[in-house]
Amino acid sequence: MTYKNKGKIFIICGLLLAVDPLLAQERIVSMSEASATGTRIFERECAPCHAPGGTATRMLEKRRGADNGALTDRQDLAPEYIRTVVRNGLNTMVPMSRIEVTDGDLEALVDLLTD
Amino acid sequence: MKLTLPPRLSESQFKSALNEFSQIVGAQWVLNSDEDRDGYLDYFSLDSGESHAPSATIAPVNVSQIQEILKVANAYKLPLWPVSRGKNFGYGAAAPVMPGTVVLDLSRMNQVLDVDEKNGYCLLEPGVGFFDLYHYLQANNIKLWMSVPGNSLGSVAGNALERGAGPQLYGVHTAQICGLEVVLPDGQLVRTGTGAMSNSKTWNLSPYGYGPHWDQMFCQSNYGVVTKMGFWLMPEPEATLSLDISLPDEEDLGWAVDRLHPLRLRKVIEQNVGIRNYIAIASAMSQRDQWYQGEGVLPDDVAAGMRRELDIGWWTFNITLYGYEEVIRANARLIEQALTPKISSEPQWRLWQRGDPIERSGAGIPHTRSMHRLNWWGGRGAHLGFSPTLPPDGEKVQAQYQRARSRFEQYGIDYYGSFALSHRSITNVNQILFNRDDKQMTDNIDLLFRDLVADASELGYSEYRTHLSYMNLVAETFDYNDNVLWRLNEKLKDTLDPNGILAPGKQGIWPAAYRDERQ
Repeated sequence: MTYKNKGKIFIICGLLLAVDPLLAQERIVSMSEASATGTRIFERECAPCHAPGGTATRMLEKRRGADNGALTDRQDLAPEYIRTVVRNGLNTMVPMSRIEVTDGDLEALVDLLTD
Repeated sequence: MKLTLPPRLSESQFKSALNEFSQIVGAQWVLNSDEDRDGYLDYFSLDSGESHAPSATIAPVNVSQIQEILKVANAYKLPLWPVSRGKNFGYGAAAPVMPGTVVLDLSRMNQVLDVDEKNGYCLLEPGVGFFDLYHYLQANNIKLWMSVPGNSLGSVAGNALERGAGPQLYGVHTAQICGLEVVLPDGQLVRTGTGAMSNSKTWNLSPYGYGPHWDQMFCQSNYGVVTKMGFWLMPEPEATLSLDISLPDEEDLGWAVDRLHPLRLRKVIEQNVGIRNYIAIASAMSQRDQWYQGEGVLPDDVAAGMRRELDIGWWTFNITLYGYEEVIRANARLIEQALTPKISSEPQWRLWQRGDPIERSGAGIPHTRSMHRLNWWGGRGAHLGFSPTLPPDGEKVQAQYQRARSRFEQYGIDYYGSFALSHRSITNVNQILFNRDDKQMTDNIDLLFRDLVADASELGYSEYRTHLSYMNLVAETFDYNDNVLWRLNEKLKDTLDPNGILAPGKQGIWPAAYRDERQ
């Protein structure tokens, strides 16, 4: 994931540098922060069930095959799907309000899980 | 979920009140959309949540914001439903009893204010979750152990104030409360117990204080908003010894209770022993359709096959002893003496000593493994509990099991029962697992629940805690002297909260203005 992050930053850097070098610098800082925030939020809000061996991971393994239950390894999560599940719940996963997971927090999670 | 207005407010008054709330906490922390309301519904309800739909949510971050919010609520006579983290699953989650109530979400107040390792206590805000406290203790290398409930997503304070419980040594959570700070409905800030002395050195050390003891008055009630809770934690023991016993036969429950009870009473075993049936165990590790795809209750031969394959008994219980190694070894021998005449194999105790991996200790480590049970029927799984308390007598317990099981099966639901043995009583947790999308099932469960309540109260066994939809029903069962206790609770309510702004209907306690809502 780190490698992918670096790749993404590089690409954005490349695009932004074409526009404004200063903007590119700010963007790198906020991407790192977003990644750290996303991880922090995942640990607090998601890991209780979605950590390796957790209840949700086990249920997802049943649907997707052994060793395929971890959210953080998924390549197929679309941003809108993540937002929908977090805000509406899914089966026995309860929804999370905008107090518990703010819109900003949710976007950081989306970034983390779609990288 | 569409907006249901609070009963006594017009739409413009409601909007005006929300504006005032936004001035206090900031607009970001006042939620008022259809999607936001969905986030505060009872996610495990028998219906779609409309019978307990909130109107909005407001999330303060400190005591003075709460005081200002209550001022506004009093002015508008707007009802509030305080929640700590809102994870009261199976009891209504974050939803209010009365539709249209505004949720007062305290989860932003999530500071661990103090931890005293030497004396074994912490001081917490309501938003501190079990995971939060655990991480705090680990990060600061504090050698105090927690007790955690089966679903540890909730708030430590919220759970204790609701009289939740865990299987570890300090598992009667409400008994570990020592000193509260509470905002009364009129905005006054109170500290209970010895904290009523302004320079008290013992607020979270010495529980009773002087005069009436108020800690329990703010448990399962609507008399105030708790903003700080003193809470006792267990010093890390030198060692633990842990034993799992499987009992092969449904008839084994009675003798197990009779042999364990004297040990529990004499503190050879110091925490409640949970004796669980095989559905409780099987649902934590599998789903029903792995064993049976037919309708109705799991047939006996299928259940027997499942038990064989999972290598579990009809009933299962764990005993974990915590303390000095020579003491717990002595207690372990006493337990063996009591049990070995009736069990087929030699008890295999697992020893943990300081320095061994904590996961093997029996310490309270927050988890959500219990949530797997909700997947038993598949789909949008949910649960509803009925948990009467009865005397710790084997014959009575065996009869209670039979009676409850017949009821479950009458309504086509797999019987899930567990019995938590305390020193002078035993609580029979009946966990009704269901699929929210099966209308026949959800209709049956309402009937099942009502029958379980009626059966229990006929025998003098009372419920210890209940779901929003049944708070009046359960309150009715406390019928001594024409429900005089209920009237006492409401008399106090009217004095403390004349405008009826805090949690109308909680535990059946209705402010004067809403007393008709009881029906």
